[in-house]
Amino acid sequence: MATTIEPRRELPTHQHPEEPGTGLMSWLTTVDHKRIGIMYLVVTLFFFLIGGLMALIMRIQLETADGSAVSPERYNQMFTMHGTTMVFLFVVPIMAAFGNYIVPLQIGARDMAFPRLNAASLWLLLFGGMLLYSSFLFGDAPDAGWTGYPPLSALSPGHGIDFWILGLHVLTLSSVAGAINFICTIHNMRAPGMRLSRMPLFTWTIEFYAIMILFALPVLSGALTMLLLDRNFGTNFYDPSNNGNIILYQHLFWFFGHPEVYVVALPGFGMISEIVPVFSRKPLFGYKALVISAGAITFYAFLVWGHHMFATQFSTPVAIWFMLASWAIGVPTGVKVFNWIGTMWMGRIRYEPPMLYAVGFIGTFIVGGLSGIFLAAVPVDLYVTDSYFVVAHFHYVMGSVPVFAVIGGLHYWYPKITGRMLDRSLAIWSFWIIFAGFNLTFFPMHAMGLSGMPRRISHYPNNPEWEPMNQIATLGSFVLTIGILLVLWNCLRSLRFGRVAGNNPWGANSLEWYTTSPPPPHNFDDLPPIRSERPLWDLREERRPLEEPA
Amino acid sequence: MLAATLFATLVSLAAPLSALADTATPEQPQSPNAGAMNDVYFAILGVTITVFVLVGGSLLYSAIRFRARPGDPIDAPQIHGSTRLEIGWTIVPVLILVGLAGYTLAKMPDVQDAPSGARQVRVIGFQFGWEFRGVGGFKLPKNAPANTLVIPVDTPVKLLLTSRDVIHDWWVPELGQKADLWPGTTTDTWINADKTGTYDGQCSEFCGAGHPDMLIVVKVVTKQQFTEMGGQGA
Repeated sequence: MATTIEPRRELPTHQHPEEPGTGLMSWLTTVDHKRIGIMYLVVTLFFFLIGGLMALIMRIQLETADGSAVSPERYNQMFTMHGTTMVFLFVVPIMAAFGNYIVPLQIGARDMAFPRLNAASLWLLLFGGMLLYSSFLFGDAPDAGWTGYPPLSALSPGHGIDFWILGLHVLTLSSVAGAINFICTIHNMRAPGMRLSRMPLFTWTIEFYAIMILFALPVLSGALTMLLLDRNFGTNFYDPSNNGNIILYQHLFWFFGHPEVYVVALPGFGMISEIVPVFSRKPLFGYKALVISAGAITFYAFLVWGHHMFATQFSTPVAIWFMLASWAIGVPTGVKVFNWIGTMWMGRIRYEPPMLYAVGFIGTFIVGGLSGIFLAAVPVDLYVTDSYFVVAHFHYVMGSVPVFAVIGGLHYWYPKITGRMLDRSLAIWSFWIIFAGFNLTFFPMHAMGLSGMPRRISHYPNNPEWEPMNQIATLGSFVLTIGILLVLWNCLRSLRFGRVAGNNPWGANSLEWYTTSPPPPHNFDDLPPIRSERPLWDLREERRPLEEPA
Repeated sequence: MLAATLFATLVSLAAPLSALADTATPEQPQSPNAGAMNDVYFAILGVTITVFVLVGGSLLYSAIRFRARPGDPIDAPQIHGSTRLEIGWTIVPVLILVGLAGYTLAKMPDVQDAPSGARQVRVIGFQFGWEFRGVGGFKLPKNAPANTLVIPVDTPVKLLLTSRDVIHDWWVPELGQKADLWPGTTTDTWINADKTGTYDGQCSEFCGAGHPDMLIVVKVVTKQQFTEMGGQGA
């Protein structure tokens, strides 16, 4: 039975927030989650370009066996800062960018629970990144790898590692404050009717993202603090000659480091779970299974860290535990892939750019998931660990999330954020270029690892047979770069020239598409009734008998 | 028509794939532990390629088969899920993994346990090189080039690994598993080379600016040559 939809009404004027200015100060002092989200996006994309530039330098270096583009010392700084930048300044915080912008809209809230804390998270991110990078100004950039294992990191001369530790401390504060904010927002700010069981999948995955950050990142801070003390204040937490324990650091680092993978992956899964049903014109296949599997991944994520450390020689039962637990994570991950395919099955799929990225993501992620089975198997891991096979694996997992899921999400929500559509044919072109470039870059790395090439080497004069594979990867990295630059160009150009989007250009069903594009400072003038996880679908169904007389 | 296109695509992919087969597998194993690792690799490769073809195939199939065509209604049939299917695709992967785990666990002792009566060599890693010393009655040939371990063929040799400074990692792909070297602790790996020859490897835990130059050469010689070169206890 059709219920009458409440007509849009103006809020009483005393509730109307002041129109924000557009000047620089209005951005620097804003506490609006949408503006903070946009600034998060700009900051993280800026660091992404820097991290990508360092990746290109590495690829140029490895194009020839002699590797003479940069010195080995500089090369070590490049891969250390590439990894650190991509993880801490790009993939993790770009999820906060989308979480900030989208979560309050998806749950029908006015803003985040703690708007000022939210602004603090943003500025800590920027300052943490600047602190980390200022090490270059002092001539001692971090050079012990993004994992920073002692004793190498403890013995590294200069202050590069100290900048690295303190930079990561600031970034951790930013992420933890953001995580607390997300959890409080999701649990306290939902609109009437928005039960947990009706929350969009992206909001659910931001909830799990925040939970994992909260439990994992402080462990990293502890590990790094001990390293800082060892380096500067004469303690011996990790110094074996004084009864310290080297391996303690690796346990702590990976107890953080493995959940970190899912911190990155789950919001990516959430974006895919938003995009696939909208463009397949179907509801999500197995909404509950998708939520439960995300929860299961969050739980398991804390039980598998040891598979990064098989070469340190655990006792056999410990090694077997980490192997089996790691494989077990494949089950809920598989459920997600199957449910996405189930959502597409029998659909009427429209290949708008976000959907291309979603299908591209599922395909590449299957490769990354399957190569993970090799790495979790103890006997095979003892061959492939610390080789280029690992580099291939984690780029297919942690790299495909930003490159396909996040860019897909960017194409999906760009109209909401800016009010304009991206250029469709440019977006489709750039997708195919990115897809080709990504696979050309990272697929040959499996072969390099299997042929015996260790990671983190700046040259390989004794193994010229690795050259062709490396040249394919180098070529791929340039193709990938062109694709990424086209996406950014499209985003900039469409700000001005894009078609006007309207409230809901994709015919989507979650609340963010109910309000205007871009939304007003207070987000919603009114909200539709929320009776399922697809309030806008329900609204259209109710209107349908009125609009389409039988 | 669609099936034919898919089939043609797969066939056209098969040729370059078979050319790549050599790079898609580990180096030819020359020691029983490397052989066992290789067996597990192939078992997993078989399973993962099957899964990839099935799951990737259904992704590709549904992506092409269910695309919207002109004249279709906008919305598709509203199917919310299928508990039976979802339980099915939870259980089947569990069963596959249980099978894989059984096989891997059965192979693990072949990798980990050095044969009894293995000769012992102490290996010391440092920035940026290796030192080798025979233990007990097992004496290595003197005057071997730097970073070169000379061992007799068909003789199990257990390597007792330790480091003088930072963490290093022993890796000679043809001759068995990696093992980290740390200061203050002894870890181990072993070799039972079944063919004479020279095998290259290198440190595979990042250890500083000289890391790419921390090469390993294992020279496997006949027992007679080993003795002639001044080794004892072969």
